[in-house]
Amino acid sequence: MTDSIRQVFANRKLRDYATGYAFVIPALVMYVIFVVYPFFYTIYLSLTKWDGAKPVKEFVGFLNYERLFADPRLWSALSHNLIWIVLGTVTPVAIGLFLGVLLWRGLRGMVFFRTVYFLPVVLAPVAVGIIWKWMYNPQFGPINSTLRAVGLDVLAKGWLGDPYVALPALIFAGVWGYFGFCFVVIMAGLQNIDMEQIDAALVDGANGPQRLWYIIIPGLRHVLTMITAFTLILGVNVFDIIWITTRGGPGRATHVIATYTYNTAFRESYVGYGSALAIVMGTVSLVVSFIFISIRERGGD
Amino acid sequence: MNHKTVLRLLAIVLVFALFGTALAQDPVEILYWDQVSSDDAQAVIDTIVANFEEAHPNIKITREVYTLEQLTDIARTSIEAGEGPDILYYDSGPAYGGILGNAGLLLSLEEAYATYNWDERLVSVSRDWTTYGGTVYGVGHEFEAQGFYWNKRIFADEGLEVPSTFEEMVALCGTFRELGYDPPMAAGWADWGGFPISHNWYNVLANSVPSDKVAAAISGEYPFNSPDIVASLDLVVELVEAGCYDEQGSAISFLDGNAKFYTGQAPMMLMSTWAMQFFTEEITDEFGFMILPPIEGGEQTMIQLMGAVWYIIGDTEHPEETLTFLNYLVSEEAHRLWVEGAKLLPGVTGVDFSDYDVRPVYRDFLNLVSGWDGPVGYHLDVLTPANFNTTLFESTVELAAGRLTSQEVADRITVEMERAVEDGRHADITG
Repeated sequence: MTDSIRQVFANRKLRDYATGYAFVIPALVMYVIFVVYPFFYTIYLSLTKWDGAKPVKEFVGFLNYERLFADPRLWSALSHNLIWIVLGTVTPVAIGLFLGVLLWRGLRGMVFFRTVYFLPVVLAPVAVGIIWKWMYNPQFGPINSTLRAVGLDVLAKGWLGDPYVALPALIFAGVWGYFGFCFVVIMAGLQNIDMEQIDAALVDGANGPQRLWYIIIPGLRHVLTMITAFTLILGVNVFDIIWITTRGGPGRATHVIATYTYNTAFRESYVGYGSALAIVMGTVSLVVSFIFISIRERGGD
Repeated sequence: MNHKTVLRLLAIVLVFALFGTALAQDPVEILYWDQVSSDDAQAVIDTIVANFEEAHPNIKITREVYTLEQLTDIARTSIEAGEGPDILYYDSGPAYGGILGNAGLLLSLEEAYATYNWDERLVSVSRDWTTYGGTVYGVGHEFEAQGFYWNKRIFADEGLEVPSTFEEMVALCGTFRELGYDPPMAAGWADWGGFPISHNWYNVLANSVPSDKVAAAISGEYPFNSPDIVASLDLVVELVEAGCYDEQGSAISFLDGNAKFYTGQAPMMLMSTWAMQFFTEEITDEFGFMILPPIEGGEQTMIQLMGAVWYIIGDTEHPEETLTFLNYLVSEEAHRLWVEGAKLLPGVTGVDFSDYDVRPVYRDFLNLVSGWDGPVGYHLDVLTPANFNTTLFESTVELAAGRLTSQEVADRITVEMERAVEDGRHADITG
């Protein structure tokens, strides 16, 4: 290979690199401005005592983090997150899997069902919150009206005003708004299932649950891992539907770490402490996802 | 055309351009962030702005309307970013205007109070409730008292008496239930959490604990978990147990709860006088206003406060014009419009309102206030810090639901007050 040919080759390689970078850099710049910089700035704020308005931010080291451990509101909010993560993850994935398998083999009207199930997903969480706030209205809401109409007055209640019922009621609303996503992704995953394996299992006498457990679920391993991890992260970060409906109330019954963080930083003006809460939230989100994916991958292999 | 001619032409064009610019100079624009109010109040402020602009053609007012919650969310960050208004209609107290004042984001009005003689023309709580760190930053507008509205027609039809003691009030809640009416305390929990029930507690507190002790507690000098304050929370529990609160109160919105009073479903409603404007729009029955009856062993106390107030932003580019506008908002000319049109009770003194066209409940209230010589109590959440308020509102809802005891509520708010004192966020109203 002559030097001139090598030079041309090198230049072309350079041009290829340059083209690649030209595509990547704008997104990278945005990422740095809107994700990396705020992330590190939040870490810095979490080490200060600041009300969000005064020009001086007093550096207090890890004082805000020390406070976290003795904060009963944080532990209460985290326990609600935990409930949300468990119920809010298992339920939509299970419903999505059930419906996906049910409709997989080309049930009549599949397009209709697929559209209906997916419809809530296109709604913004704020809209879902507004819909369910109305559904749960103790005086005029359809749920209580129906219960009263069929003589079950005793079950009619202020769903979002009862501290014992409000969180499950919100999780139900959240599941309604989200299971369609799981359903559609699982439906897509089901298209990759090897039908010959299913047919072979049938010949071998495998029943429905056995086919589900030994062929379909392992075949959906990557899809289930992805949506479960995604749902777990949503469970840690859940905010909008709660803020729209109950704002963490009644009392502290539906506060999760995101609503508590927002409340602390922006309504109580403890920005330093709120930043520490945000860091904790981000860390929990990362750790939960990492643990889940690690376990899943180890088990899968 | 030689270059001299060109230069002459350019000079002429320049002179005309400058002259034309001067002639076409836009009026000074003042951005006013207002709070959402009733339709009547909207119409009144539109009229006041139009009248002002007519009298001051060099000033244009641009008004944007927000809710209190929206203002709490955006005011501070917007002002800091230089994107805030020139004048802001926001709530008083350290949790609201105090945050902005203490951060140096508001214009000191010390000089303006002297220039415009506001100390003489406005009620004294205007200055008291808008002074943060020794500097006055606001001009009070909505003068308020807390109490109960009662439907005169239903009381007459059912042969009910307006309660004159706390015990009678407690008994009346049971009577309402027996007669098939809803209890008097419901509105707003779904929107504001424990805001309404906490307001009720302020009344009980003011009537059962001496004002100097309450002031000391607000100032962080007397613990909120002292036995007498815990006992006042026990009285709220007594009201809950007597059926004075709607069991579904936490799920009923402000508007839905008020609708119970409008329709006569509830013959009584706990609410401050700021809501009088809404009630007069919605209720055809005549209705009265009363403060909480005296509690045995205590002295009947009226809670008076300044609701929303006007602040001028520290970095306004037009302080003179904004002050002129603010002074117009509290003028006698505007006063009649505020009262008759918006059904508000401005904190302006020395105005003869005898010929104003208002509903009887206004006269009841104005007579009550003008004839009041008893003690005046504190409305806590405009004086207490935001972290205290949040915890109080959360905890009183749990108190009503039976999930917390009075002692536990008191302990929680004591911790928050100690934290506020440690961070220098409390209001010192005893010094």
